[in-house]
Amino acid sequence: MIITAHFYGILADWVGTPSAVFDLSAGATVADLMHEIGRRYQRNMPEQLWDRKTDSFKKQVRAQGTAIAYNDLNMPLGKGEEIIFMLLIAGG
Amino acid sequence: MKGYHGRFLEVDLKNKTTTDFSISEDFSKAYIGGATMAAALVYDRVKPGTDPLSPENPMVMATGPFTGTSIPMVSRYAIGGISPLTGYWGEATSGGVFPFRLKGSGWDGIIINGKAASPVYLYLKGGQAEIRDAQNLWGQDSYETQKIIKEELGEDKVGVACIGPAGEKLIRYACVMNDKGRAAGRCGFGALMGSKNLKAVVAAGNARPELADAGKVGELAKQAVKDINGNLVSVALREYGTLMYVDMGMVLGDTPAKYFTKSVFPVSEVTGQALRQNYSVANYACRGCPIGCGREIKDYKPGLDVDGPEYETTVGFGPLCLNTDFDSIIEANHLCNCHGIDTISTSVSVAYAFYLYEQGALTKDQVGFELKWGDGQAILNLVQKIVDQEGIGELLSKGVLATARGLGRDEGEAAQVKGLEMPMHDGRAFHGLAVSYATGPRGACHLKGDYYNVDLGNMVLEYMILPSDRLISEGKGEPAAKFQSFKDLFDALTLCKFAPLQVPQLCDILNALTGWEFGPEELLAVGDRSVNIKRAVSNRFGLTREQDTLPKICLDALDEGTTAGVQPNLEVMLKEYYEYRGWDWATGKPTREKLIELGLNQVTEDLYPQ
Repeated sequence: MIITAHFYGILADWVGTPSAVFDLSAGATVADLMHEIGRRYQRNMPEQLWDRKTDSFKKQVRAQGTAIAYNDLNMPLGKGEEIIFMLLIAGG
Repeated sequence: MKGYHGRFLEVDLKNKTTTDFSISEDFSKAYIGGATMAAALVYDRVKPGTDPLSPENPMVMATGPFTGTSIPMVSRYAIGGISPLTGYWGEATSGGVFPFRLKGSGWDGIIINGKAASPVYLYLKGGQAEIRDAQNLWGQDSYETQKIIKEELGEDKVGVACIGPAGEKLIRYACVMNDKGRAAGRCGFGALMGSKNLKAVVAAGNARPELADAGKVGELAKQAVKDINGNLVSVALREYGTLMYVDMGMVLGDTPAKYFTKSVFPVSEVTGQALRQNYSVANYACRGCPIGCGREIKDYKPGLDVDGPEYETTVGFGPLCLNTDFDSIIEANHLCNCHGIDTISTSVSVAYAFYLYEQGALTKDQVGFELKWGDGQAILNLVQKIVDQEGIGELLSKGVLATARGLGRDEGEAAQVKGLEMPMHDGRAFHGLAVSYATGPRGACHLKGDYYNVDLGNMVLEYMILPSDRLISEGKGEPAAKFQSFKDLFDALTLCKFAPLQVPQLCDILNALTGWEFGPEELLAVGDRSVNIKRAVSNRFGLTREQDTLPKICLDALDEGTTAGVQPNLEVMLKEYYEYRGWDWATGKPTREKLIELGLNQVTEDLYPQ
């Protein structure tokens, strides 16, 4: 199934692209998507962005789907889902 | 007492005298320092009904036990007093080098009373204080003032906090500037200094209090630097400053546009990335800060470096005015800094003028030129009129509430709480923020608390402040109150709001500095006490529950973006908030029981006389 990831704001700079498309097998989870993101882009990222233990973004990065937040690596992804990744920090 | 000098300098400008005011260890434990200690000192000194611009309104500048130590992100100070803008309790904080120098001068802070017969500045060094003539400085802008003082003293290791011409003219939202473009911006303390004929406070010296366990403080400082540098947010702030949030805020409906009536805007032209790409940008760091979130724009014009606009300023003069011209935003920021006026209150007042013009409530004849949304030059012209006190600028310089009243408009369209203009986060996008705004100790304040950070996932487990659906109101009142108390603590400790330090770390640091045995509960109790004594100050100046609200223009549901159709249920959250706080729903005052629980005995007697 096709999953589109949008990297918002400064994440686009850090990942190296504003969006990317992933072709994952049916039933793929957030962890599968993260693994693919890491495989493709991790070498570009600041070391503080990626958690090597969980092979995913650090918890300060939010993954927001069309209707729900993907806040657990075990969550299955919706078919054709578009996910916005953004950093959980607000400027003052 | 460890961690403190144990004394404030009390200044009488009228009689040109200075004395020491001792602070006890019990007093320090109860209020810690910064804005909280300032509130306690002001409470004891100001009489209800005092005109904020009269000599009888004292102004307190305070550091805390963290200030001037090796702990990172603590070179900050607070100003407290009755706000010339709101008429209630007011406070403002700023970072830089000045706070480090202020603590190094040999006092924990200063209490300034009276009014000098002619312009003066206060010079503090190594425990000695002098009131010096400042007639040659009167009329100088804030950058020139700092430069001239340093040149006259012939020493560079001094900190200067000063006012610009706006403070001298008593503009109600004039601020106090330090370290070039750093500002204690909110509530109009520049006007209070101006009303006292006090142009600047200058601090030098390296007096440091004895610490309870200096070795432990050193270890904790090293760990804190490591934690800060390892934090993703620190990396983002270093790279793009506070502006990193503009585009994310727009996605969330949190970044307001067109005077709080829109939430969608072509934001890519005014982001942190755009600033980096289009200008020569250097980082500015407060003393001891490993992040450096401040921006300096080099050679903005030939030979002119200017301070870069922060998130609040950029959104205020940008999306809030539908303006994508970054040059005009930078210039508006610089104009505000030179004259010493708060960029939030100024930009909201300017945006309100555009709104009024569109509504037909202001005409070209009244303004002197057309006001078309997004016209950067018109924004600059309005700011100039404000600082010059010319035409419509004079009314706008009193803030949006006074402007609405002056023009006979519905006060619900004045974007403010208790007279303090609304910052650039939208309560419709984070309902916990809406109740924080409505109840903030100084009015609409995005820093007490910055509840958007909670619902974005930044929890405080020790106090069970946990993220939840940002667009749900029910259940937000209590955590918003706790978070407000927690963030009030930051200004008691003089800790930067961006410091990603955990509650146990804060306790360890405080205890190593002072020898006390604070745990998370004792720390939060100080935050609660802080919010309550500030509330009591304002209650004595007429504040009631009726002022704990948001204006209609910031509550009405929008018809676009991710918050379309959303309206916070303020009533529900306020009831929960009052319940947690122990405040009386009928009067808006802390209950007698709550005040006794917090040990605020004098306040109890004053608010509930027998």
